[in-house]
Amino acid sequence: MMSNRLFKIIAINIIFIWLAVLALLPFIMVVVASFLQQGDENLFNWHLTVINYTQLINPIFLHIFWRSLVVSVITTILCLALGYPFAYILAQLSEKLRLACLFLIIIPFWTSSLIRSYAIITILKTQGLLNQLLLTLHLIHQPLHILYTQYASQVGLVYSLLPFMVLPLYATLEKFDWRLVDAARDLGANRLRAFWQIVVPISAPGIIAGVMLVLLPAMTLFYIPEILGGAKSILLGNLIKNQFLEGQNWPLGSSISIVLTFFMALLIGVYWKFNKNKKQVLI
Amino acid sequence: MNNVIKVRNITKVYHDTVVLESINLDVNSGEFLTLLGPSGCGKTTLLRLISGFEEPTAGSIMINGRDVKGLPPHLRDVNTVFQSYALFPHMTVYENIAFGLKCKKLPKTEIADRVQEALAMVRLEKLAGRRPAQLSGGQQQRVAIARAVVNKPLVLLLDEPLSALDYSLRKNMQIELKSLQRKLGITFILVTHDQEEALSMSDRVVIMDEGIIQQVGTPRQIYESPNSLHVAKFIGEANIFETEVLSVSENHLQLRIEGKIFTLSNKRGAKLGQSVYMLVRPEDLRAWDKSEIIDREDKDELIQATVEQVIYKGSTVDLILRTASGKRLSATEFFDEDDEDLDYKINETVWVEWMPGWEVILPYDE
Repeated sequence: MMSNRLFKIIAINIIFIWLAVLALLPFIMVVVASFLQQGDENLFNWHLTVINYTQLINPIFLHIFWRSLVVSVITTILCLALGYPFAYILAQLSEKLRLACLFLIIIPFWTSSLIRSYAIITILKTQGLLNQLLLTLHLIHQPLHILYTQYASQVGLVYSLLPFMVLPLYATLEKFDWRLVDAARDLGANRLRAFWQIVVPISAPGIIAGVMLVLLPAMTLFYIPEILGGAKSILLGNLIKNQFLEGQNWPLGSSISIVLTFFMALLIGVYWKFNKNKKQVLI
Repeated sequence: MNNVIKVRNITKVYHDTVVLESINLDVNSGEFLTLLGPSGCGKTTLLRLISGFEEPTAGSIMINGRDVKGLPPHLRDVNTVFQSYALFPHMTVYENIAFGLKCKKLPKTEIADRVQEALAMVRLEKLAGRRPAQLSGGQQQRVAIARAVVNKPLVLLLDEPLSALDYSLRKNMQIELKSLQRKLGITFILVTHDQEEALSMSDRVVIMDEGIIQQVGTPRQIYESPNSLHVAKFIGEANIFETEVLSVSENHLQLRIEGKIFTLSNKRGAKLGQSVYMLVRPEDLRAWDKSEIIDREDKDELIQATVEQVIYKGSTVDLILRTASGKRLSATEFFDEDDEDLDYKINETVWVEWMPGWEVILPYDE
């Protein structure tokens, strides 16, 4: 009995210590850093200031913020448009095929996403696979210049984040009771109506989870715009990275991070509230 | 008579397995028809062919005189009450019931009126704003029925609608369903594997097994004159004696059963020397003890048996008997004025008889 209790206390405390040391402490350090001044010799000057935040109300930063948001939203919409049909079909396959397809989604996870981004270069470049294919099929007469544009960056983002959309959608649709579609059809709904009024609303939790998992990381995946977009299109992630690694302005980098964290927390808050309201209706 | 559904030579094959074979069935307008059979007999498949979720491999189905080949489920004038109810979890009771009417794009006021009417019919007016998860099994069942009948279909298909309910609730819902059907005048086709349910609710019963129809008839016809041993065994319990016809006269035949000769009426035209089964239902068997039989002159013509088990069931007493030849019989005795004393003892000898004519004589068919 005693040793059992002791084990519980130790196990729970280890998790708390883990979170405190590796998540809470760094976060507090970032918050503190965001209120310090940039130093000439050291990383920080120990003077409290809000300049790192006021500085952000600057058309250049706001523009980057806005652009990042637009790119993230487009990425999310594309992931949803591609991921939903995929998860929908996946959920209806036989168990064997389903596992094989899931495996195909998960395998790329075992390769560094950096390497996968470089692999996309070989597909998109002027003499790459895509252009060669299109030229051979006589669909185009001149190679397309996709690489190092925002389109390439968009392709990379969608490719990297698609599994994060597919997996939660699949998890919801796999549990879906397809007899409900039969019921809707029986009551006079055609396939399209049954899909929009029955399947989509019931799989909403999966859609929301997928959107959260794609929308938020899409703003901060700095290496994809850098590798595929040719560093021409700076997004929020690049901005933060630049402050830390190139601009040596850790306080500014911290404040941008905090603003981003705040924005994400807001989204999660909205999601929570939405979920809570739904539960209240249920009770 | 007006046949709302005509099923002609329907065959359904799934992956080389014949699920239904040459099914012919006419459903009368306004009747309560039950498809009864063990699981895997094809009864649910037949229902899904009528509702349009499956297409037959061969044959045709007419609904109200129209061949529905290729017509998708949402364009057929039939509605289904599903086994698990399949209520939409994200909609309220009201929205669930209104769904079909909205699909038909009826005016809002008419939808509201008809939903209210349907809610009143199943006595759920007060729960209109609830979601399915907040309802009991019986209430969900009522919503499922209301959601289907609100569309005023020509035929209502019910796929084992009561199987998820507990015994007493099921009994109540059987009565409710039956009276609802009478009130609405809609044709009901019920699928079930529960013979009691089939007998108590239906105008006609269709007995199915292994993809074919075994017998179609009123519950009484099915129970009292089964046309095969299979049907007799499936519906209720039966004591089955294997024997052969000893002699035949114009209307009668003689059989030897447990060493005694019985002269019985020959309803099915059995021939001399033919092997037959004779069936007697347990409730048709009378078991008399010594004191009850002592004065009867014909007591040597009755079958003797010993009592092996006595099961008291309140309104009846069930007996398990063993004849001299070792045959096991079951008999159900009722408390009535003929037999007020049902005090059987284990190992007691009893004399068994039945009302002549209540037996069923079937030829060997297997």
